[in-house]
Amino acid sequence: MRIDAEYSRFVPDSLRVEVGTEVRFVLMNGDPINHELIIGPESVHRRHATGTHKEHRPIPGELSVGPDEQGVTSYVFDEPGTVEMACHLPLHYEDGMRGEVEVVEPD
Amino acid sequence: MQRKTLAALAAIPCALAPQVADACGGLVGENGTIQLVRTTTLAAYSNGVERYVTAFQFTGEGESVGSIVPLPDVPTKVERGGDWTLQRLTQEVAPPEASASGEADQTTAASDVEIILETEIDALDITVLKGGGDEVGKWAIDNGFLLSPDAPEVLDFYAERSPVFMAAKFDAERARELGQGAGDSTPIMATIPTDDPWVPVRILGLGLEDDQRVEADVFLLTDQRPELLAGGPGLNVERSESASKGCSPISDRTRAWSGSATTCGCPTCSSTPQPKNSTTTSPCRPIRASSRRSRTPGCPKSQPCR
Repeated sequence: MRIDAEYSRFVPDSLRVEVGTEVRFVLMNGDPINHELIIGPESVHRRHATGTHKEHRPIPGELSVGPDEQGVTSYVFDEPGTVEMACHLPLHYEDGMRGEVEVVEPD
Repeated sequence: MQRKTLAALAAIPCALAPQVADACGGLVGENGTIQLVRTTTLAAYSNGVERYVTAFQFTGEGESVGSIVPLPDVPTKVERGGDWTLQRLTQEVAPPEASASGEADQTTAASDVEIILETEIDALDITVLKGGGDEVGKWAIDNGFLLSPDAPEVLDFYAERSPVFMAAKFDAERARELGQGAGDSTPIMATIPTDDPWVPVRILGLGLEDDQRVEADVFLLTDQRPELLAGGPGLNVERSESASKGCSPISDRTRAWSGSATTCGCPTCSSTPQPKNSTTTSPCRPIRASSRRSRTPGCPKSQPCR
């Protein structure tokens, strides 16, 4: 799944996947500033919102990219509900760099 | 002498405790936050040359912060402005003596911008560069600036109108070595030959929340009444009137001027020349207006305030 970082926004910023799906995210950064993609439950976002790491190694659900760079991370959506994705670099989240993944039961 | 029009704009009111106050530039702090108190800018345009005077004021204990100011064209000079010019805006505006500025360096930086000019003015490292929004942003990052998340969009907005930017990086340690303290300001004047003069205003909101406010006074001195079509709510023309006759160079604390000592400015001001170090508050001060930052695209290219 390609996600563009464009003017400090995720494009697209909302997705829908079936529970149990592993999604490979490719974050394409078209901005001249750093961005990150953090996917996970509230506890993960709380940790990153108060954390001080300037970048993250590509572990599942966490990714940092520099200007004009791309990066890849994967995440398994194993429970139905809504999972947030966000950039927690200073002011990015507050400025609107966030989105959500709706995880639904298969038809 | 052709009667000039002096227009004063008041924009958007006060924000947080500052580290550096900058007129018409986007502040970039150490952790990406923007702190701005109030700003003052003069843009005088005549005979195809815009003279853009702004002040950078150190008011805190920060380490190194910077500002990026979009310019309508390539300046031929960037030099220290008169110490009292901005303080006496409502009384007189005069072109300074020509003086040498920093040498132009035409080398291309790794981020593919063209470096037009580099110079030091007090505790400020001034760089004039040319490039697209992305290129300027990358140069800023490479050179220690921290850009806020809205910077890419705002830089693109301005780069589409003019690829010229002036970056000013403030060095607090050098300021201490120079004996500068809180409240001291460094006025900068850029001399810009251009057929399309404008003054950046939108960039003042760089990094601010939507409900934060910036207090800025923008003075325009032009041969003809300018069109002010920018900004939407919060950008108000507080005064617009003809400058008095006989505007001529005046004395400044640091520079010697030629010509008469007649003051000029708004007709309601006293015509008595003010002492050099006068701190008398002029009656011609604009009224502050309030507004909210907006992410709207701003005004079309033909408008003088952007």
